[in-house]
Amino acid sequence: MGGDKTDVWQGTLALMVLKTLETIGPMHGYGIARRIEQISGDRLAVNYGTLYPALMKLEQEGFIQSEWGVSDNNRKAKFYKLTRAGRKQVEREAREWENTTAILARFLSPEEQP
Amino acid sequence: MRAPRAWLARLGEIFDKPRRDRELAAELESHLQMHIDDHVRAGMSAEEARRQALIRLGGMEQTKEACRERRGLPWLESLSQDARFGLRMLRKSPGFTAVAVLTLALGIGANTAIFSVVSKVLIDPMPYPQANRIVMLRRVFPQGLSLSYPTVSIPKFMVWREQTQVFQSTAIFDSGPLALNVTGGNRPEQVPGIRASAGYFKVFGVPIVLGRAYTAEEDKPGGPHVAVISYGLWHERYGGDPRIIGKTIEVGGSADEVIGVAKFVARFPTDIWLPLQANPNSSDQAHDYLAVARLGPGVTLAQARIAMKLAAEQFRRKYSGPFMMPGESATAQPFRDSVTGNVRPALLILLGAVGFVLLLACANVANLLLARATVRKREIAIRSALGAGRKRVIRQLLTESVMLSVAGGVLGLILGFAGIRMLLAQYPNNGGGGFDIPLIGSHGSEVTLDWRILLFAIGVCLITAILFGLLPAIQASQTPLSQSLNEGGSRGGTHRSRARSVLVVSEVAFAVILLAGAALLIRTLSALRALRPGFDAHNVLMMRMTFSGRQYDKTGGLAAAIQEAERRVGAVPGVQAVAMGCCVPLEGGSDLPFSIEGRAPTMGPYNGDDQWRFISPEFFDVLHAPLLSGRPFTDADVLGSEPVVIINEAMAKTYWPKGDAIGQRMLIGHGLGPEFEEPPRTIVGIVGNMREKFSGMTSSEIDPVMYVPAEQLGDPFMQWVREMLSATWFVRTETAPFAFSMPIQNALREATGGLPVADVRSMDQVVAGSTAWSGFIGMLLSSFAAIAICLAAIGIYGLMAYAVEQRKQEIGIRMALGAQPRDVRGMILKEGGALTLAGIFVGVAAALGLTRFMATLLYGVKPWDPMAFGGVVILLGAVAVFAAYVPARRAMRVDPMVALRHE
Repeated sequence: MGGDKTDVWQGTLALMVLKTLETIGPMHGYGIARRIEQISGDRLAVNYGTLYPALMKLEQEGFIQSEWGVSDNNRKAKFYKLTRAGRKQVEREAREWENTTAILARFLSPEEQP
Repeated sequence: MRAPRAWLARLGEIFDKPRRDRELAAELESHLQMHIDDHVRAGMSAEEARRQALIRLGGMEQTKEACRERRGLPWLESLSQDARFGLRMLRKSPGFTAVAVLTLALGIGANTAIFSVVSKVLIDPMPYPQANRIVMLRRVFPQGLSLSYPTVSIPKFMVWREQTQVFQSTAIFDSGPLALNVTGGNRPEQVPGIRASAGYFKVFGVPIVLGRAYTAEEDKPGGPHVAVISYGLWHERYGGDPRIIGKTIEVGGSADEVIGVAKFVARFPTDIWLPLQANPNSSDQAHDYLAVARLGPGVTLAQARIAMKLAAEQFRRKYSGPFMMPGESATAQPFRDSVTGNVRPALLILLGAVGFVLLLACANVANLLLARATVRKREIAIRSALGAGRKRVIRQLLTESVMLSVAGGVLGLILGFAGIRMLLAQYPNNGGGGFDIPLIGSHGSEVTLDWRILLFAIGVCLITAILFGLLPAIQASQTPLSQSLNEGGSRGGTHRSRARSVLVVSEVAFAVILLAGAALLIRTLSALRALRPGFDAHNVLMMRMTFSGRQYDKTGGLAAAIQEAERRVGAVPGVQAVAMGCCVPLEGGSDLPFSIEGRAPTMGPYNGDDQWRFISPEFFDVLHAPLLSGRPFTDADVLGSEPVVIINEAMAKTYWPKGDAIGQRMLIGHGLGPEFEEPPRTIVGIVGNMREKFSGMTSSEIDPVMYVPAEQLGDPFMQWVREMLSATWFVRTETAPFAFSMPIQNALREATGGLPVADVRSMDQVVAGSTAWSGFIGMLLSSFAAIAICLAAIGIYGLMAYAVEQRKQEIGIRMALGAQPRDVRGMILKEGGALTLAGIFVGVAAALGLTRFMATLLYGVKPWDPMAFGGVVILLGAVAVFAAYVPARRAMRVDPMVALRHE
């Protein structure tokens, strides 16, 4: 399954994780992965070989915190939540990303310029 | 911008690593389980759900490894991990580790030891300020510098030193240390000293630690009796007394005032400097001095040479006639060259030899690492499968190589330290023929470990180890995992064993070169030892004495002392005969020019210039030198009787080839100076040749020698002689001579009015010492050759053993198909033999090209000596066959069934 899915790439994964946590609150790794896949309309595949190193990096940088909790299905899981620094980071990253895509959009469709 | 915080967090994570590992595992496991739960809810069987989840999520171990790399400071952790693992690997194969480390240590240690000595002599600045500005002023003949000893006469120096436009300062001093009697106090002793002009201290920049040096004023004829003493003598004899300045010490019977203490490494051991007080108007022709100069600012060597050539022409004009030899001129030579000239070839050869040892060591380590790499191919594949990245594998192998090199380096450093001391302990201090290594201080005290070469050698080994240690990692990362895993780790790598074959061939070639050098020196040594010295050295004791004091101002005093010594020493039980002579056979001495009555001069005003000895009548008896014709000296040959001389066979053959020497008259030393003037001497006897000196290591010629009775020298001649040449007593004893050493010394002291003796040796020691330098070089080269042959054997053995292991299956099939064990053995031996033959071939060709640089060290053998080369080939061949035989036997015992089931 999933042969036509794109592997998510590292730089954007961090932003997706942060945005996900901002939207749905504290969540475990599996939940984050499923949510990202759902939002992408199942066009992205998030395997844990890329997800967990990314989570660890974010935690080291102080954007997220983790603590053990219990999932909906009564499984022990580690829940991640945004820190204050994390919230600011989401805003900043989102703005930068919008900028970038806006600029790129102009390049890709120059005839639509006023 | 978040980096510092992240680094801090990661630093913190290094600790409580096990907890974090557990947590990560639990987290991943819960992730997996949630995934499975979802699948199960979607209607899959539990087993299928798990399978799908694992496929979907990727390898759990790789994920863990990726997280570990994010966590903590992985390079720091993995470094210590790599080091621990490396240590474990190295411990697990102790044979490999020991051989590799030892090989590296030998290469590094030998290079460090030899280079430390060589650099002190040939490379490091000499221990004088601006030492490269110091030149030797010397005579030169059309044949070149190498043929002439660099001595000068006082009149020549007086003309040369006028070249003030090129020389800042000049000096002249005795060409060798005089044995000076220091008496007074309760311990008379002989110490080495020289007479030097005042410029000596300026030219060499001698540091005076106390007092002052003597001035040009004090250096004039008739100047005061002053002396500068060495720091060593000051401490040993005078206890470092700061009030020594102004005190009077008894040197050679005269009272000299100490005016300074110098701390200085001189050209030869020197403890006392006395002003030469040479007469500027002297016309003495004795070339008994060395002259040096310090070049003026901006003056080049070429300019100095031109100036010296002009000075020689000036001298020729000033002293028309007999004062210069035909073709003689003068030149300036860098001081180091003049000092190191005769040891340079040997030291360079040693340097080359250790260089080969280093190359061999590197080849051997490369070989070992390559062999190991093949074995570890599978291990590396497994590690990759378990999630080790390519970088990580390379780092692991790198760590191991570096650890090997560092261990080798540390051991090499220790070996280097020990090697220097061993080297200097073996080194024949003042070994015969003047082959003392200059500039290394007394007993090599100036030699220290040379860090540059140590680092260089370790660096070379490190590069080798890294290069060959990494090959497997690079190759492994280029082959697909599944292939390496399936190969079962025992096949493949044929191109790598080709590289190993090349390495083994070059190892054998290096060994051949070193062995050839050693063999040639061993042949030289046996040729030298086979030379008959011309006297019976067994049971003869020698000791030196300098006749100082008023009672020896006249020859009669010496004659009386000789007779008294003959009486007193002769009375010591066990003593058979006693004699005195100026010089020790085999160790050279002084030469004087002479003319033959009734012949036209052929060399300037002379007919020849040959070795000259004064002896007591018993001299030939004590040494058992046979008188071939004529008569010996007797007690009647004294001052006032008919002047006589005995010549050796070589001299008779050279100058009187028709055999009519006896009865001819010769005039010795005429014109050298007033003290040398004496009436012509009649030849009364011809004595068998005694070897006087192995000039260089290689002179096969026997020097012509003239012997005159000591008791027949004129008083002024006697005074010159006793200043310039210390006399030696020779005593023949009935049994081992050292047993009689003390009573003989006591008897001599009583007979001579309390003069000290020094340098007590048996003549057997003198004979041994005459070949000591060849022995020293030969010993070093032989040990290098021994190392070389061991390394080459290890190389051959390693390669063949590996080949047998690799081809076990093939050998099994061959044997199953009917091959006899003998055939299998033959096959392996043939392969080893082919490699060895190739190595020998290359090595012999290279050695033939290289050994000619040894020509100056050889005696009695040609650099292409077939015996030496033949021996080398046979020895190496035998060792190689043996090294290949062990694995070949193992191949013979391969059980076809076991080998075939092996996979």
